[in-house]
Order: sequence, then C-alpha cells, then structure tokens
Amino acid sequence: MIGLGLCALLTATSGLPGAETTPAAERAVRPVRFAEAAVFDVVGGGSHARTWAAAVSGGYPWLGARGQVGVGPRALTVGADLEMARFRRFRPAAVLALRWVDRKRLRVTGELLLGWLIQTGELARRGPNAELRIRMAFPTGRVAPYVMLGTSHTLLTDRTTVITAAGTSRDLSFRHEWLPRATIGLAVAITREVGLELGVDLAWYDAPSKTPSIPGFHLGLAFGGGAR
Amino acid sequence: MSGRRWLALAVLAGCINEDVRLYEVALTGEVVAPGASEGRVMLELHHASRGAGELATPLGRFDALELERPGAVAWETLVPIDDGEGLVLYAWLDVDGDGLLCGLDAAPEPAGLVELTEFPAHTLTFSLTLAAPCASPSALYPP
Repeated sequence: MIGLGLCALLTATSGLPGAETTPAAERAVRPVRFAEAAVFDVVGGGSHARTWAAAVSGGYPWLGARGQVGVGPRALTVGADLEMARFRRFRPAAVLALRWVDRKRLRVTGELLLGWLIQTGELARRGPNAELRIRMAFPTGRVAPYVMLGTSHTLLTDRTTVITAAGTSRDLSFRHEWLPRATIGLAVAITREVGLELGVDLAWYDAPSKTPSIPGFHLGLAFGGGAR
Repeated sequence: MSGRRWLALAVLAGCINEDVRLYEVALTGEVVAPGASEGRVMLELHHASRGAGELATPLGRFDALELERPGAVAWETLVPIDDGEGLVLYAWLDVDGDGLLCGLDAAPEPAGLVELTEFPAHTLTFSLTLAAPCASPSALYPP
C-alpha cells in the first residue's frame, strides 16, 4: 500500500505548470525536471538565489538539522547546521557555501562551516570548530547519488595551574582534533519541494592516531521553497 | 574586572578541556637501607588513595626518581592534586642492578614506605627505612 501510494504521489507530482505535454517534449524535460529539487540542494550543497532548503536527518550515530538560503550568484549560500552524535556530541555551525560546478547532471559545491564543538560524557571536549566540505551530486531524474568529503578541525584548550609557595601560575596549551569524514548516499526527489535521502557516514575521530570509527548511516527528510 | 577580562573569562569557561592543578612540593629526607649500602634506590611517589565511593582504591603512582645509592634526598615534584588524596613515598633498593624488584633467582631486595601525613604543604621532610624484603607498594599500604 505504501509503495502504491508513493507511486501515485510521484506520478501526480511529476508534471510542471505550463510544461509541454507532447511525448517528445516530455522525453526532453524528464531528465532535468527535478534538477532544482530541494533535496538535491541539501545533498549537493548550495541554493540558487531566492530559494531555500532545509533537512532533518536521523540515524546512527549521527543526527542533524540544516537550513540554507541562496543569497547570491553561483548559488552563494548561507545557512545553519546542527550536528549531533548519540546526543553526546553537538556541533552547531554557520554555513557558507559556493557552487563551483553547476550543471544539470553534476553539482560540485564547497562549504565552510564555523561552529563550536560540545562533547559531553567521559570524553568531554569543547572548543571552536571549522570544517571544509566538498559535495558532489549527480542528479538523474528523480534521484541523485552524492558524495560528501569533509575535514573537521577543533581547537582544544587545556589549562595547567601550578600552585607554589610563592603563588599560583596558569598556562594554556592547545591540542588539535582532526575528524576526516565522508558520506556516500542517494537522494530521491518526491516533488521539487520535498525529498528523501539515505547515506552511509564514514568518520575517523582523532585521526590519525586512533582507529577509524565504525560506519554509520542516516535517513533524511529534505524540503524547500522559493523561486524553484 | 574590566570588560575585556570578563570576555576572556567567558571564552575560557566555554573552551577549557583538561584543567590540571599541580601542587609543588619540595621533599627532603633520607633513605636508609640497613645492611645494604650499595645499589640504586628507586623512589616512587603515590597518592594515598584515588577514586571515590566503591571505586576508591589505595595508591596511585604519579612520579618517580632514582638515586645512585641510599642517603640524603632532595626532590622537587608536582603533585596532581585532583587525581587523588594524600601522599605516600615508596622506595626499594636495586641490589643486583637489574631494574627489577626481586627478579627470578635474585637476592631479596629491601623496600619501604612512608606516608607523608603533613601534605598538603610545600615543604616536607621524611625518613624512610628499607626493611621489608621484596615488598611492593600495595603490600605495605594500607598498613
């Protein structure tokens, strides 16, 4: 039943207002009809000016929420991103993105995220975080395989207090946490405004000294609007 | 406090990870080994206890020192005061020079332990007699 309902929904939403209805025109427009789908903006990065997209995702160990709005040429985008891992690691961040390659069948976007890491529990950590990401999406009809490669860096500050007979002195020292990561997934546009995406998340905490983390997965719901 | 200092304090409060407090102690004293005057002396400083509640456990080594032979000791150390309570000094005499306390087929090596009950204080004095053959710290403490 669910499959039939989804099929009916996909069929009902596949037409475009004002689009030609001749078979030849239909065949010509079919491959790019959903090229501007919101879910492709989420996984491929960037949004064209006067459009916006948002997504929530859940999985193991990552959960996330993201919103972005196009503000300039070449899909210059600003946004906000909240990332969580098992409700113990939180990283709210501001997002700045620019689409380097913007074709119907290929998107390549660079993203810079600036935020703050807060990790609780036995391995508590906190500090300013910066992440660089490259997103690649390959839209084909309603679906778009995608890849995200990222390198995340957090500055961790330690404090040492020495209590001597003459008084107390304090020194700060700094460590660096490196988290390279990758996500491989598939996005499906239900409509231009709504879509789903499923991905496998590969992360490596404390690289290169620690063992790479076990892979995770997530399922996300994306939606968007504006002048699509 | 100026606005800039408040800002610095707020930033540090939000980003300090490990916060280690070290208490400087100058130890002076003497290690005596009756009947054995030669051999390196291996000194160890321990907390008297670590942990809390059901996880409390005696001893916890945090520093070490080697002496050429038994005799006078002057040792400046930093005690990580958030890692445990109290201060215990343990030593053993490496009679055969193998670096092991009473290894196989080795002669008995004397050991001893003293609790520095005046801690916390920046200056401590002690006298330690090595009289227990082949005794580890956990065999001597708690007494």
